Amino acid sequence: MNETKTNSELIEICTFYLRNQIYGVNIQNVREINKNQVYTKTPRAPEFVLGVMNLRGRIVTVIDLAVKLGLSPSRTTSETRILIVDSHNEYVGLLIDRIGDVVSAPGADIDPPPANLDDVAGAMTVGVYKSPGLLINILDIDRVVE
Amino acid sequence: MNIKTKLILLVIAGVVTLGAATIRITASLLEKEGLAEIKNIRSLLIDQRQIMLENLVDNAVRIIELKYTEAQNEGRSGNEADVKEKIALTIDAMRYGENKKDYFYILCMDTQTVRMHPKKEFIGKKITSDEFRDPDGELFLVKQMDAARDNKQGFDYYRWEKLGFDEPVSKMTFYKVFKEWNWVVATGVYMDDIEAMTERNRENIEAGVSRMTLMLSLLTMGVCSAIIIIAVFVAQRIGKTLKEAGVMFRDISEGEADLTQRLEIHSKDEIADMAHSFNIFIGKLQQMIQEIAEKADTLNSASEEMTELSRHFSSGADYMLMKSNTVAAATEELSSGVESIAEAMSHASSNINTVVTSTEEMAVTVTDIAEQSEKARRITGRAVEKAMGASERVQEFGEAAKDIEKVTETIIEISDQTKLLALNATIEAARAGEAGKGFAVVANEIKELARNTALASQDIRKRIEGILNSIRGAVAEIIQITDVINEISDIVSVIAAAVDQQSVNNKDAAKSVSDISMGIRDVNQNLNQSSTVFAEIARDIGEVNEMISNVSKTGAHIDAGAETLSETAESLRSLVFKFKVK
Repeated sequence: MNETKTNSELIEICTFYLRNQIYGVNIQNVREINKNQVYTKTPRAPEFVLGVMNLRGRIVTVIDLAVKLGLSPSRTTSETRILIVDSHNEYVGLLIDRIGDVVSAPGADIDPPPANLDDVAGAMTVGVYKSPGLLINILDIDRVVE
Repeated sequence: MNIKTKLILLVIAGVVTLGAATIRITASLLEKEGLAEIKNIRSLLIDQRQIMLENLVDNAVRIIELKYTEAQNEGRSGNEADVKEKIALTIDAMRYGENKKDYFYILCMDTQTVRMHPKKEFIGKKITSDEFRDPDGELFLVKQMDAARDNKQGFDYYRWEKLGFDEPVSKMTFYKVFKEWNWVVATGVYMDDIEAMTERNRENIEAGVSRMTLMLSLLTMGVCSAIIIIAVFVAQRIGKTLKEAGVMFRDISEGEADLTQRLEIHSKDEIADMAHSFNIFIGKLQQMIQEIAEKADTLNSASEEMTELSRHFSSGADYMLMKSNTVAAATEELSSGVESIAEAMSHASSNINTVVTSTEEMAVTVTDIAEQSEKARRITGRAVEKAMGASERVQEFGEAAKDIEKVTETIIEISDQTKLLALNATIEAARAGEAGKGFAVVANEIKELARNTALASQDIRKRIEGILNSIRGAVAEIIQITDVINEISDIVSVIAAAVDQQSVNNKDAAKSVSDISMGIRDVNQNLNQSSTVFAEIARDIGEVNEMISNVSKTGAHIDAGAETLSETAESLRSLVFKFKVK
């Protein structure tokens, strides 16, 4: 991933919200943000899998990121979006409550996750960005979509 | 001393007396009989002795006679002294009795001397010699000789010394005269053995008597004890029954009065009969007392009821009295009220004229009011129309504002889309790396624009919302104004109608006033009559009052009577309840 980059380099992070908590993913992992929420439910899938969607001819699995992170299942609102991410050339749709922004973070401001973050979310965190006024958990997409 | 003790004492006294008498009589009888027997035995013994002595002396005299006859026949009379001596020695040799101690002796009447005696020193001695005095001082030989001279033979009793005895002992002597020689032949035996035997017998008898007395005493004592025990037992039973009866009597008499108790009947004697009768009596008494107690209860409750009734009666009378007082007071008030009314009426009569004048003035004013109120009605109608128009125009403005809001929402949506587009563009630019740098700047610009647009639109939306709120307030106020104007219009209409009515009424009023004036005069007259009637009523009420107070007094009397009755019933109860009957 990008941990090997030098501290002076800027990392662009796409931020979003789950239950009013801000999270982020490296923009290199993001394919696009989709407003369309039409997906087909798949039978006998795990609880966090909502179904599959057709993204311009490509079949994309849609998962409820909240459930994956150990939260309660999400409810769809007008602000709900699907974040299409790219993990090992496979597209996966992550259902999020609200989109944030793209922020540029200096590598020096990203800390490794605290040792006591031993819950599900902690296991999927690659670092914490201390932006002015708030902390953003940066998720490891490969582990999220495993 | 109670009956039991008395009975016991009586029995003891009787038994002891009887026993003592029995012992005494028996003992004396025994003693008498014993003594008589001793006497018999003694006289029998003495008789035997006498016969023996008589035989002995007869034999001795016969021997002397035989010797004498023999001597005569042999012719030896010449030597009579020898013969005499020889015969005397023969007689002297004739000893008898125990150890041959008993002997004969011979007295010579001619010489008044002792002719022969075992004690040789006595021979030849004068019979008057002091040696032949017995302890009583009598010269018993002289006495014997005198008696022998007269009677030829006989017994003599005296006391004479006996060998082995310190004192002279009683002696019985038989004497017989041998007349040829004027000799008195005699022999005697001591009576001491008989006396001793008699004495012994007497002692035996006395011992027997005392033994018998002792036995009798013991027997009597035993019998007495048995009798006394029986007597005590009987007396105790009698005493117990009597005591129980006594306790019951005392209980009944002293107030503990337990009538449920009964005497226990153990025996079948007169006491049992008495106890039985007494039990029946107590039973009847108990029943009677029970009945009396019940009656006392009934009486008590009756008297309580009566007290209650009389209390009710009393309180009823009091209440009546109070009411009649109230009526009297009310009547007085009424009477004075009537007078006030009469006064007020005359006042009213004078006021009526003033009213008539005022009514006419009012009629003019009313017409004026009617015209003004019609004008007001017209004005309010116009105001309502204007308000309606304002309301419609405001509503139209509201609709326009809503249209603007819709447009604003569309703008916000577009800016949202634009933002998403810009974000996706940013992502694309980032993925393009260095090649996308310039594009990223453009995408950022677009994103910034979209954000500003969204902010402006939200501001517009907020303002429109404020306008819409103001419009809603204005519409509500206009509606209220319309309502108020309508109410005013209604009121004005009512006033107009009322004024019309008033105008008509005024005319009626003028007529009514004159009617009233006349009516007041009639009323005044009636009131004067009423005043008289009220005075009569007041007097009657006074009488009623007096009667009621009499009734109240009677009630108090009844109450007192009932209380006395109650007390009597109570004391009867307490009297009866002194008896225990259950």
